[in-house]
Amino acid sequence: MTDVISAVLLLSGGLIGVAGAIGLVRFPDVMSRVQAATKPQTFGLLLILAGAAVRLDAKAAAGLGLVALFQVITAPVLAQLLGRTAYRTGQVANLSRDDLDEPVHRRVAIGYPPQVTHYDESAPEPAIDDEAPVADALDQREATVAEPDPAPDRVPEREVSDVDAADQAIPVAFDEDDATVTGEEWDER
Amino acid sequence: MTVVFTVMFGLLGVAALLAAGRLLYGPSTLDRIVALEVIVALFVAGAVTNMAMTGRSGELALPITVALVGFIGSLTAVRTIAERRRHR
Repeated sequence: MTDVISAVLLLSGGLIGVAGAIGLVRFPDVMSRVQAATKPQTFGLLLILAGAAVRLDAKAAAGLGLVALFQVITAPVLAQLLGRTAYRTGQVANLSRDDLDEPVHRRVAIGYPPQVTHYDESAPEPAIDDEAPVADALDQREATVAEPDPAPDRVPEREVSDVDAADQAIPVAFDEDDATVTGEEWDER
Repeated sequence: MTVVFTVMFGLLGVAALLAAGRLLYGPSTLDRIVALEVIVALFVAGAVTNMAMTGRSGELALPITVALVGFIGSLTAVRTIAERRRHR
C-alpha cells in the first residue's frame, strides 16, 4: 500500500516536471516560460517530496517538509522578480492588455525616462500621444521638470551603447542628467 | 518499485535535458536563468527520489543545500540584469 501511494505521487511529480520542461521549450517569451517553470518548481517537487516522505521515517520526512516549505517560499519570489525584470527590459510580447502601460507613459509625459527600455532596437517604439488627457493634466509639471532638448541632433556625436540608443529612441526628449539618476532619486523629486 | 524509480529518473532526466536545451539556446539571459531554476528544482527532485530509493535519510542536507544555494544564485543573477541600466 505504501509503495502504491509513493509510486503514484512520485510519478505524478515526474510527469509534471516533464510537462513544465516542455512548456519551457515551447512557450514564446520569458513571462510564459516563467509561468511554465514554476509548476515543477512548486507542485511537482511537492508531489515528489510527499512520495519520498511516505517511504522514509518521520525524522527524514520532517526534513523533506523543510525543503517543501523553503521551495514554496522562494519559487514565487524568483518568478515575480523574473517577470518584473522581463517587463522593465522590454522582453514581453503577446500581452493582450498592459496595465502598467499608462503609468509608464505618464513618466514620459512629465519628462522622466520610462523605466521600460526596449530590449530589441528594431521593436516598435511605444506610441506616445502628446494630446492625450494625461499629458494635458501634467503640462505644468512638464514645464518645470524637463526643458525641451534637441536630443536627436546629439545622437551621432557620441558613442552610444544599445541601451543608450534605446533611450534616445524615445520620442520625448529628457534632460541628460535625468537619465543617470537612480530610482530612489526619482522618488524624491 | 524498481521500475517506478527507473521511470522516475528517466522522466527527470528528459525534463532536465529539455531545460538544458532552453539554457543553451537562450535567447535572452532571463530565459537561461529560468531554465537553470528548473534544472535546480529537478536536481532536488532527483536527490529526494534517490533518498526514497535507497532509504538513506542521511543525505537530507543535499536537497536543502542545493535549493538554498540555487535560490540565492538565481536571485543574484536576476538582480544583476535589473540593475544594469542604472549603473552603466
